[in-house]
Amino acid sequence: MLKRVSLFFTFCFFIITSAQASEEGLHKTVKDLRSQVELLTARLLQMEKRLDDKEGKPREIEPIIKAETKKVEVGDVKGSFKIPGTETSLAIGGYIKLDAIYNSQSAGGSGGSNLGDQILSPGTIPVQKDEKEDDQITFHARQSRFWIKSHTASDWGDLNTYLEMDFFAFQSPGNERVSNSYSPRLRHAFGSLGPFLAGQTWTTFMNVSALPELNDFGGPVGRIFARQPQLRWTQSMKDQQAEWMIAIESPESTLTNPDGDRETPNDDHFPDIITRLNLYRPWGSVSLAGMVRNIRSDSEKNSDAYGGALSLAGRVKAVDRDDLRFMLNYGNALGRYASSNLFNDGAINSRGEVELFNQYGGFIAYRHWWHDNWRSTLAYGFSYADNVDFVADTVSQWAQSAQMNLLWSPLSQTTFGLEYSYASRGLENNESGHLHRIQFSSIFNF
Amino acid sequence: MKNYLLLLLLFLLVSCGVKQPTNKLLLNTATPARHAIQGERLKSVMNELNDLMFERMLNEVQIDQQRRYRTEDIVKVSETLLQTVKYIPKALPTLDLDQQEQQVFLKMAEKLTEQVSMLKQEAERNHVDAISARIDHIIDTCNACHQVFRPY
Repeated sequence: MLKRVSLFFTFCFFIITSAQASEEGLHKTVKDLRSQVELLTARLLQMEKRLDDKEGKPREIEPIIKAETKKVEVGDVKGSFKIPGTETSLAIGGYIKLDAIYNSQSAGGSGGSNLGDQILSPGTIPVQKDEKEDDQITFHARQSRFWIKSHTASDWGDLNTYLEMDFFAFQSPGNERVSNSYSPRLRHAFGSLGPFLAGQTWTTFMNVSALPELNDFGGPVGRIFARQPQLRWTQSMKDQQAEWMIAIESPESTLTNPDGDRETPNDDHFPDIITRLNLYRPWGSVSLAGMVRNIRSDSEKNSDAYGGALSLAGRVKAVDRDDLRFMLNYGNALGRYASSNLFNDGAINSRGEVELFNQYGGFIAYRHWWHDNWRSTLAYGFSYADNVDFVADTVSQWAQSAQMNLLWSPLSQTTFGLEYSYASRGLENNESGHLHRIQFSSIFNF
Repeated sequence: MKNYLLLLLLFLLVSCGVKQPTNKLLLNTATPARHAIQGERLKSVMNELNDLMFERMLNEVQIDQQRRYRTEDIVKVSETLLQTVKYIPKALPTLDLDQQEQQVFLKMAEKLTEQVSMLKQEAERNHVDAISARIDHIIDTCNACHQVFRPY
């Protein structure tokens, strides 16, 4: 027992003294290493200095760091930056929009083809004979949008390019079963140099600033609405606070055959010729547009007719921050330009000849600001066609809409809104239909 | 259907009762000075500039053009404002101020001139994002001066 205890204490003493010895050795090693590092660093610096002195140039570490931290230059238009080494300002942007919509009855097809449920398209308002299921709910984010633009000042005037897309591609509508995979589509693609513009954008016949602020993408009945390829010249008349536009735009005829069905012949010979005068005054802006079109048919025999239309539109300031917006249209070639092609451009008689008919429509809208971030729009629109006698009585004769909304923008980049819409449509045979819609929308700009 | 209409009505009623923060305003300290009259014009143009953020139908190039028109308006207002601000030091003899107060008064008038000149430059360069903050600075300068010297 005694032997064991002695052995144990001897072992402990050995361990402790060994540890002390190794700790002292470690300290010495670290100390040696430190002094070696210091010596090497000093030698390295000495060598670098000699090298710099020999080459006679400063070391380049500093400029490299400066180049890496150089700031991006702000561009010439809001939200843009200049492409390094150029005078071109570039900007990207868009918004994400969700629409949650209740319809009193379905106005569209199934799956992704339920366009009539997603936007107000007057031609899809169900009438008595084709009334569909009641109480339709649909959600979509198809209006979400992306754009990219550039701006370059030049001796020839401003050089602008613009490309914009959203997800309302009607030809590939996706479905609602699994992934809601809607395809992007081209909205705008144009360039402009000074007064000259070429590309696809809003038709010159349309005064965009007159359109009311609505959640519904279809807008009020009676509006002029088309985007198409065109060549446009805009002459600014600053002294008169006015500008004059003239354009030739892509033609397309839509015709009603004697059975009441739509035909879209691919036989256009002349571009649509459009001119517009814009006046800007302290009380608001107003525009007058005129258009001449050649409406053609190649169904049974080649036939054509020339027609025209006028559009008066504007935005007038009202009390405080409020404004009144309006549009009035009349002519025998309004057709596809008005109310999302509710009426066709003309009709084909039994001899295969094109006949034009008068149409008119318009809207009025008032926007009221309740507070800095709260606003409402009340809009009413209508459209009427004096159809020719020989077409089937199932064609649309009139349509109207009324909208009321409340929009809230807690930040200027976001808007949340609730909107109520009422729309109705009547046929030549006196049948009519009604649609009630409640729509919640949220918009997040970027 | 009735339920949805009731919901909409409720939303409208609630929204009317909600108070939101307002934009910076000129204090109503007394009768309006000549330079203050331009303030209303500036406020109106700024509202129009801000409202462009809510445009969904105009494309961005058209919105840029509208912004350019508004900044041109701001240049005109700034020029008028600079003309009227020049007369502020001429009010000095009509005020019962000691030497130190006179120096402060002139300093504030100088600051206002400087701020309005900068606003004009920013508007000429179409620096839209800088304009709102500059106008806030101008209003702060105006308010500070009115609060101190209007009683005289």
